[in-house]
Amino acid sequence: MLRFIVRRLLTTILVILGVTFISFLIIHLVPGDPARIMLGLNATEEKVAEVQRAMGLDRPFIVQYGNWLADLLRGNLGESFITGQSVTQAVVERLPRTLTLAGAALVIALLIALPAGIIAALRPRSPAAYFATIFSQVGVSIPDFWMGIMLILLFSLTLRWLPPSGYAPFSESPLEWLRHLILPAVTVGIVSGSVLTRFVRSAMLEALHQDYVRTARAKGISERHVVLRHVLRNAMIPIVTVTGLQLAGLLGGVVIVEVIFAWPGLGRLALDAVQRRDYPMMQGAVLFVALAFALVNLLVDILYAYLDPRIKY
Amino acid sequence: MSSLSMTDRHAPAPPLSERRRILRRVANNRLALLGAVIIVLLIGLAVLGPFIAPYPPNEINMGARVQPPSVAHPFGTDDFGRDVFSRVLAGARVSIYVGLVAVGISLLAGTSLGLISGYYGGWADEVIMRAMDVLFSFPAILLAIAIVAALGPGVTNAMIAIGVVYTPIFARITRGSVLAVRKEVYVDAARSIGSADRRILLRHILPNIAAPIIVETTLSLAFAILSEAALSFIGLGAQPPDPSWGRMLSEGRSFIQQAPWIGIFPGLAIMITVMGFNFLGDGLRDALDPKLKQVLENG
Amino acid sequence: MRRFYFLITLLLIGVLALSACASGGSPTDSSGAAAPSDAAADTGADTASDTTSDAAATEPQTGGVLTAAISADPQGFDPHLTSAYSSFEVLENVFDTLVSIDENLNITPSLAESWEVSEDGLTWTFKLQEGITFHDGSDLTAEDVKFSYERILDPDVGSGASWRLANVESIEAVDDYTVAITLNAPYPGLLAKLAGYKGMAIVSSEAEDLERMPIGTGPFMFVEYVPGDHVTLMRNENYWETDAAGNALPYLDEVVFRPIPDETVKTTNLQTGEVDWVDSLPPQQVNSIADAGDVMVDVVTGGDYWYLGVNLNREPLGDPLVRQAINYAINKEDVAAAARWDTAVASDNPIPAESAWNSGYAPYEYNPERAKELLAEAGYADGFEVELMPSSQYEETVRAAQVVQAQLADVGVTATIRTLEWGTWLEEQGAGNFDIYVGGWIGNIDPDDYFYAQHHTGEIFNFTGYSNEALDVLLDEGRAEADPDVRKGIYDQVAQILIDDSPYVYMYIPATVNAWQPNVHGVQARPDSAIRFKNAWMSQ
Repeated sequence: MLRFIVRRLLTTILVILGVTFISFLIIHLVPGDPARIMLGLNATEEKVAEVQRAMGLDRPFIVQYGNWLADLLRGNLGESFITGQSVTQAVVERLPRTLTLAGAALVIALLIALPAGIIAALRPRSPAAYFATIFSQVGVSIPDFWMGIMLILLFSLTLRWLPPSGYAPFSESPLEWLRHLILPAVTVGIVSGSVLTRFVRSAMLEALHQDYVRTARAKGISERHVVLRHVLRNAMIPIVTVTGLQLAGLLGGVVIVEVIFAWPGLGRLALDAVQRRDYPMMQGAVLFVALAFALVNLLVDILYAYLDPRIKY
Repeated sequence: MSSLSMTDRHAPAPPLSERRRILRRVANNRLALLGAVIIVLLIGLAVLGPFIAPYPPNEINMGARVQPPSVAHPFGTDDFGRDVFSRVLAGARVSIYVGLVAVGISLLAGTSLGLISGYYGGWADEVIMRAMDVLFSFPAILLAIAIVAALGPGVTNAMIAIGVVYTPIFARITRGSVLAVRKEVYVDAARSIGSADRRILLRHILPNIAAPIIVETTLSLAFAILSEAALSFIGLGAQPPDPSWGRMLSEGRSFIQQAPWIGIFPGLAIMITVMGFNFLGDGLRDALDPKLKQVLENG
Repeated sequence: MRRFYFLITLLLIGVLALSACASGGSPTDSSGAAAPSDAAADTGADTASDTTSDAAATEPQTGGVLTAAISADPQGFDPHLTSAYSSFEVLENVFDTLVSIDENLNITPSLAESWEVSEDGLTWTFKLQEGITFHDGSDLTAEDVKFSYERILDPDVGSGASWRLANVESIEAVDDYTVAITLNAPYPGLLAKLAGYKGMAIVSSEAEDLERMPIGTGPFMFVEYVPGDHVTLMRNENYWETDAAGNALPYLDEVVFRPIPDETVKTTNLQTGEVDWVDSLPPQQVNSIADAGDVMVDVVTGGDYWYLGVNLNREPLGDPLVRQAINYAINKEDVAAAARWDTAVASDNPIPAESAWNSGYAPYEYNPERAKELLAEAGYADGFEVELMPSSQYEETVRAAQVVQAQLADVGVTATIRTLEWGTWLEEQGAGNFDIYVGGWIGNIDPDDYFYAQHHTGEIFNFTGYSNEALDVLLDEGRAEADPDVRKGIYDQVAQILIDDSPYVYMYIPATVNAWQPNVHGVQARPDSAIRFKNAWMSQ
């Protein structure tokens, strides 16, 4: 186990290095120049060149990457080209908010997916199963920006129950924090829950038809007991995997929802940074998304080993 | 999937060829059938759309802006006075194109990489899969923006981006399946008579691992159509005035209160199409899974 | 020595005619709502006069926190470095300029209480108000003005505003409260270049880090910026200006700016009372929201114009006949309506009809037949292919491009649309890689703003490659001319040459739209799109 974790950590570091290199490469290949964007429409060619020099953009690409890596090892992610803000500070400030949103969305997704998927598998011909199927299909086929705006118009504009957008820190007012969190989390949660419902259902079906379930049933154990003790427990393994993947995917996948709900998270930071060619900020955001992603995957693997005694690393 | 089709597997093998059995399972699955019908309809619309459409899809008529649905305009008109019905019809073509480009790329690249990775193992496997991890842990939308910015705008480039983003999933699925069948009798047999690796991969392994790949393909087609909508939201999807459903939906969102039909009809088109692919994909999964499992158990 | 006190200088500047609704009183309580179309005129006039009469009827109340929704995150707080409107929406309330500009685009005193210009027109001397302090408590002196302008001119600083001081030879602090600016050529338009735009802000010569801690002399002090969430400003207790009754300004305790990128969501925030003020409304909803009457909507024609920038180095666009044909082929009313609904007016001329500088020259009408004749005359009877380049950053350019495309098709010209992401668009425009780009010029005040940088030979913003000696001479004369009547004559000629030659195909002039809660007073939409909360107050 320990050897496995060490090996996983090493490959994870490699992967993260790879991510930063690729993003560095891509952003440099992309047309559009941070100096030009910063100066806006009022830029002369000489000005652009001056600012490029000041930003170190005139040096060879590989040198720039090397410098960035060296700074990274010293714990310095640099400063935003546009606002001069410390990248580390910006990212550290925003990561928890994206984690909050993704986490809350995942909880909602599981609250939807577990009952819906289990019912759909256990009572395949029941109205509830059909409802669950239809729900998961509808949920998965509505783009999140559309769903978000519909929810805002319904719950904010018409019913006036919840604020349409924004973020409130937990430390200032837990109630406001929750009120602001609900709509974006539900938006993401419905989409995510729809995906998960399908996996829960097929994992349950898979487990239902295992030999040990038949044996247990043959022994006359109550159905309730069979489902809870045998089916669910075995179905949990693929469910945990997919849930982990969903969470990891949400970290980079809530960008548009963050834009719609003016949620000050990491996704919006990264999007703005790409659009403004704010290289250091974009690098920092991508690095942290990749880190969080890798961490979630690692946790899933460890959880996996814990849930399934047959898995040995 | 129904529990009936699952128990089939344990009954004496029916005197039908494998292929016909799968077809029958799909046909017995009402949702899968519905999915297949939707997709046939979609293709029909894409082919016949220009002949059915009452107006050219890009014809601007500023005198007839945001008109509600009527006999003349069954889905109403958008804010340029264009006929939404004609545009939704024309959008079928764009959507099929979007799906084909994006999934074509991820299918080709992902499956090839997965085959190599799973079959050869070792260093090749390690390098390829870590490269896939790199792609996978990149925020998809950022990668898409970067690729579109680098290659230029347009639905093709946007879909290349989506294809790249989705490659690791195909690679992973393929690799996993290859690992499962690599030690199969028929693979060993082929190897022992001296078949080339290429031949073994394409003739013996690929057909036997096709099931999960086919399922993933149908599901990714749905994903590609949604991704185009997401890219349209940040202005990088189909180029105007091309009537992509995603772009129409994204533009329609600022008219939800005033002229909801502008967004709702393309939205419904997306929903029905995505559902069609998902139903078919799920149905295929149910129908193909037992076979896959049998293969796994035998190995 | 001929003296120009500030009242006289009003004549040098484009005065937008007030619409009938304006009370015509002192500049601070007239609405200045010059509406671009009938529909918008109603909304603009009604709501604006409502608020102003409210404001006049009740005594302003001190206190309260105003939450303002803006469209994007500010991009930096150093006024000399940023070029983003979202930054200036905030900085407008933190900094002052040497002279200011009111809602009717008249130059007014600000940090400088008076000024005079030497007889040769080369030396401008400004007298600063005494007793003004920066937010850090230090006194404003002539050294700060000198420091600020020299900072803008410093190539190492890289300010995007340096071109505004292009004619400046030197800046001297004569004494603590007197600044002399020496020019290398007479330039009566100098005040307009120093005023209004907060890129010309006067900063403290001791300022350490403007990017993070913008310290100015303005009505509000910067408190904090939480990226993606809000910027908070606090009342400057020592602000130098008072209202007409002698009460201290500003009235508000705090202003909180919230960036909300999606327009529908931003509007919902206003409608649900989550925010008190928004910097724009979706154009298609302006009338319905104004009619609903729940919030105040103010619409005012601005100093912006949107146009097609034609690349003269590409065939057949180099031929003026072809460019005139494009002018005739486009139904500009349709373009304006598609881009902005009722909040823009179609125009052949970049200067709004309400402006004293408008020459009334507008020769083109929508006439596809005439366009075809001109194309045939130019040898392109069968049309040609051309590419339009809008940017996804400005959705209205994409919308305008689609109408232009359809209308060009009617005269046999096949246009394709290449929508670029902002960074790429700027790069392509700079490199001249375009046939026709769709763009806008924002915040023009002096006629020089409309034409010089865009069309003078060799100017940095002359992306079309236009070069006309006769026009260059006129533009240079216009800059140096002091007599407003002569100057008007010069710019009438300039407008005529450019409209005939059409390196730019002018399309429409948009309005600025602001909206706010009924309990907010003392704010208004301004033609220069400046966001000022100095006089804002909230009734409880």
